[in-house]
Amino acid sequence: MTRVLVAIPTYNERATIADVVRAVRKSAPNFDILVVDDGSGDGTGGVLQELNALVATHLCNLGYGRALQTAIKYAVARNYELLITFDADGQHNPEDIEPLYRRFVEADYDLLIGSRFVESRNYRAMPFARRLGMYVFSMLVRLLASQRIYDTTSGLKVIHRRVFGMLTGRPLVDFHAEVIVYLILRRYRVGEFPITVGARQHGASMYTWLSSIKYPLKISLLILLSVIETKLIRRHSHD
Amino acid sequence: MTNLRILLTAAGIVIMAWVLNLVRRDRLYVGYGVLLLGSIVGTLVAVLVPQVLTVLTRILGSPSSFATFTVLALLFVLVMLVYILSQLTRIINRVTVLVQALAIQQARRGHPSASVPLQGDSSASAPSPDTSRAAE
Repeated sequence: MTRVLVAIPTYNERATIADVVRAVRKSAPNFDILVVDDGSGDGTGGVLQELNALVATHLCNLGYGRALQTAIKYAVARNYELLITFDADGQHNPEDIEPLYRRFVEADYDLLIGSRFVESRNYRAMPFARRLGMYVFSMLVRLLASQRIYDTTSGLKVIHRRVFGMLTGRPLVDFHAEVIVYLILRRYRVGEFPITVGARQHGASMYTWLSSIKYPLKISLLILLSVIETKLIRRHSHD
Repeated sequence: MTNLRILLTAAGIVIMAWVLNLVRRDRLYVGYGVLLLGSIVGTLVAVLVPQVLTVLTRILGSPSSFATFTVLALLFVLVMLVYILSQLTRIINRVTVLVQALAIQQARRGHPSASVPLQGDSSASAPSPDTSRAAE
C-alpha cells in the first residue's frame, strides 16, 4: 500500500482549518494528514488541538515555501512515497484528491499539478494583475522548458518521493513556476489535471500588493538560475 | 572604453556570478539576491551609459553627474541599511522565540539545567512562544 501524506500548510486560517481537515479525512481516509502551522497567531493552534490533528508547528512565521519544505522533510523522515499539498483556506475541493492521485499513479508522474486552467485555457476569472502574472509565467515555462503549464501557482499538487530531496535542498519561493521549470529541465515528468477551486470565504490571501512586485522578481531569478544550472550540468556531462 | 570602466564592468560581472551562486546554494535569500543584482545592474548602467546620469543630473538640478551619482548612492545605502537592520531585528526576535521555547520545554520536563540562567543579553523582546503540540 502506497504511503501518502496530505500536507496542509496553514497560517491564520482559524475559520476554515477545521472544516478542511475533516473534509480531507472524509475524502481521503487512507491518507495521513499533516498540518503545518506556520506560526499562526489567531488561535489556529487551539483549533488544531481540538481536532486531534497531526501538527508541525513553526514557532515563527517562515512563509508558505518553508512550510511545504517542513512537510517534505517530515515525509522523508517517515518514508512516505507521495506527498499531496492542499490549501487550508477552503478553496480546494477534497473530492479532487482521489482522482488526482489516481491519475498521478497511472501516468507515473513526478509532479502532478491540480490545475484550474488546463481545460478552460484562460484566466478570465482572475483579477487583471494575477491574470497577467499567470499568463507571463505560463508562457515563460513554455519558452524555457518547452512545456505549457497553465496553472503555475496551484496549491494542490502530488509530489513523488523521487523529487523530495531536490525540493528541500535548494532555494524556493512558493513551489510555483521556479519548481516547475527546474523539474522539467531536469527531465522529471510534470503534468496537470483539472480541478475545481472555490472563492475564498474567510481570511486574507498571503499575497499583498507588495507581493506583486517582489514575487515575479524572485521567481524570475530562480528560474534564471535553474536554466543556467541545467545548461552547465548538461555541458559538463557532454565533456 | 576606459580602463576604469572595464575594471568596474568585470567586477560587476564577477559579483553578479557570486550572488547567483550564493542564491543557488541557498546561502543568500533570493529576495536579497534580486536587490543586489538590481543594484549591480543599475551601477553598471550608470557607469557604462553616461547619458543616463546626464539626464538624471538635469532632472534633479545637480551641479554635476558625480554629485548625482554620489547622492543617489548614499540614499540607496541608507535605505538598504534600514532594511537590513529591520531584517536583523526580525532574526533576533525569532532566535529569542526559539531560545525561550526551548527553555520552557526544558523547564516543563524538569530538566536539571532548567535552573541555570541563560547567558548573554536578555534585553530583546519577543512574543510568547506557541504551545501547540509538535509532530513527532
